[in-house]
Amino acid sequence: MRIIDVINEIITKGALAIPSLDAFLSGLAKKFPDTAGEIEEYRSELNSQTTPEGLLALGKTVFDELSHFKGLDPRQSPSNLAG
Amino acid sequence: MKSLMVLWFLLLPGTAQSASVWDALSVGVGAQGVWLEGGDLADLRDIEATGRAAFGVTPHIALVGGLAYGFDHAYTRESVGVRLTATDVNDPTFSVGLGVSRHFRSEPGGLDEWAGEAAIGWKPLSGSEFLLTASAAYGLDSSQRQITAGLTYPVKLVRGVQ
Repeated sequence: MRIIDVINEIITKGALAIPSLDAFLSGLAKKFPDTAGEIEEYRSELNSQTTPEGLLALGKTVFDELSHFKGLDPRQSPSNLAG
Repeated sequence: MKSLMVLWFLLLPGTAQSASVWDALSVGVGAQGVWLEGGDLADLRDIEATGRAAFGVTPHIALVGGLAYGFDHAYTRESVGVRLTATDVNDPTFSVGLGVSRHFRSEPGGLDEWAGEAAIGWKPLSGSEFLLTASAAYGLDSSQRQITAGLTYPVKLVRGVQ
């Protein structure tokens, strides 16, 4: 399995959990009205991820982070050749 | 004959090798200054030609070894040991290592014993493979300190190996 397939699977399954998390946050906002404003900010940010553009941006972020390690092989660390 | 076979095996085209294993091997040649001081022995400094090799058993444990020739005092010295290596995740071109090596020497006057050591390596230029390397070793018997600093050029022997 390619790494990009793994990322896609994580995002796809993660997206399914977003409505549940949104409902949970909504419940919290009702239970604790004084925090509703702050929770609403999180909810809107969370829901923006469920759009195709949001998921694409999220996938790109994850892929960029993982690409940071591409080519990194710590077994060939420069200090191993000092002595 | 055995040495020739080992050398031939290293020089085989990469397509005939298992890249996953060979990717853990790094080899380099270079030049460095060496300073020896303290302990029971006389202070000494020299310029050395070096050949180094390392095999990363895991990302943080490497078997290391090397050969050096001192131009001024006409000696050879060898070392082989093990290091714990830490690489900067945000900048994999820099790493540090701590370890212990057994040092050997053709002429008296330097480390010929087990020594604790610390090493740093840095690849400062993105367009060049050259490494800046430095190390400090402490002789466990003689209490002599050995400091090296120089340039190392990673050599590609087989596919994926620096």
